[in-house]
Amino acid sequence: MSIGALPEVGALRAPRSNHEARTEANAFCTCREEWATRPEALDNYRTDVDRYRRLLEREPGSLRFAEFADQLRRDGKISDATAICARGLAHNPGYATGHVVMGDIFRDAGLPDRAEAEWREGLGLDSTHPQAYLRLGELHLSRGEPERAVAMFEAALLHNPGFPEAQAKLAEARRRLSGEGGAEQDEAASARRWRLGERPAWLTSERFEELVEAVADCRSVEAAALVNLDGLLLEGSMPVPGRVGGGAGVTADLVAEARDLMRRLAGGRLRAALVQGEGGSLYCLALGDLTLAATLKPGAQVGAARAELEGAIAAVNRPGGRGNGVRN
Amino acid sequence: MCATERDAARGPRLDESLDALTRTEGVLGAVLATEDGFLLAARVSPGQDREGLAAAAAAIGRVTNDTLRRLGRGDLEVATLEASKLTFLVQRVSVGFLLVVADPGADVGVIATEMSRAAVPLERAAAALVGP
Repeated sequence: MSIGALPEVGALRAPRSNHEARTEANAFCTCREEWATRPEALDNYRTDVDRYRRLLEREPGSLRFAEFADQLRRDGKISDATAICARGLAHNPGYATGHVVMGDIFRDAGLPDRAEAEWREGLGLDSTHPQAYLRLGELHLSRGEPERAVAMFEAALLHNPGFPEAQAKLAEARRRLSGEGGAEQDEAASARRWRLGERPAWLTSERFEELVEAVADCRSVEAAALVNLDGLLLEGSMPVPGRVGGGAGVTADLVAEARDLMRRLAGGRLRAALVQGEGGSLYCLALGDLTLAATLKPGAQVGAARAELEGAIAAVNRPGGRGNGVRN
Repeated sequence: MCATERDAARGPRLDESLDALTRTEGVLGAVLATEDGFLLAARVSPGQDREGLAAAAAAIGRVTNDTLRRLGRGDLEVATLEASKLTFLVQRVSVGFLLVVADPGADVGVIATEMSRAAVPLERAAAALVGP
């Protein structure tokens, strides 16, 4: 897409969905690269800035604020970018890409915690947003948390398999995890990895769907999900009536707390948590940096459910994958 | 009868219930604590931190109860946390939480059954202990 292909101001409209908006944002990024390589494109760029400005004056609710704010951010105009993005988000609080751009602005302004909050907000609105996963992965990598970074980059690739930045970052994060990062790995990260345990070698991102399906198919299981350390849903679902986003975050919180308790009680590495309530049960299995969570059907026998789950996991783990697991 | 005498009179009943529980195969210790983590009774190995385990009972109870409520599954009945070195079971009782520490390979089904059995006399004795 060239600069000239950008629609006239009058033709600009708000994208219909986050997905559509993201597609347009990607096209915008292509334009920006062109500005860098073609000097004549710069004039068009300046024209575009004016165009955006006029558009937002006329249509303050337009989603194009995100592109404009991102452009200003890249120009180093952080205050202007913040103002434009904040104003746009006030009109469009549910626009995921807007939050991602706001996170980028905060990151550039040296406010990583606020950046993280915005990226997470974006993911809360659109759990398939690869750019948000990428940003969080980069943040974890910068904090010396390669295992968390791996989960984020994998999630980015899950929703956009051909995402080159995520592929490169995933390779880098895996190198650091395997020790090739050398001095880049600090002691805290090593301790954290020990506490978490290694993700089973067979559990690659390509197997996520197979694993969750196998568990969800168990007779005693109501719903199953694979969740990363940050409570982001990688596969499956865990619907909770009246709760936006379901129970994925809740299970991640439980496992995080349980891991911390095991550390304080010298109990060793957490393997599983089974929580039985008056209205049903939750089973969480720690798989390194991931958690496999399953809610059990009312009245399900816990012992039988555990056996079913273990059987299902073993079936996926077996060479050649599923086939002999416990099924409905 | 003063409070100390009353506690002394009721103490053995609490301990007896915990004694029976700790005789279960694989059980290393048991603690009864209030919801705030206040120690009511304990039967643990000499090296184990009684107060620390009472606090852990309350912490595990709170976290798991909160999880269930957020998932719309009602209040906690029993929580089991299995780790590489130890297994922790926490059962909700009227006065707080009953915690059992067990070997990692212990039969949690058997232990949970024993906990339910122990809970009745424990609750009765503990309620009298903490009551008005």
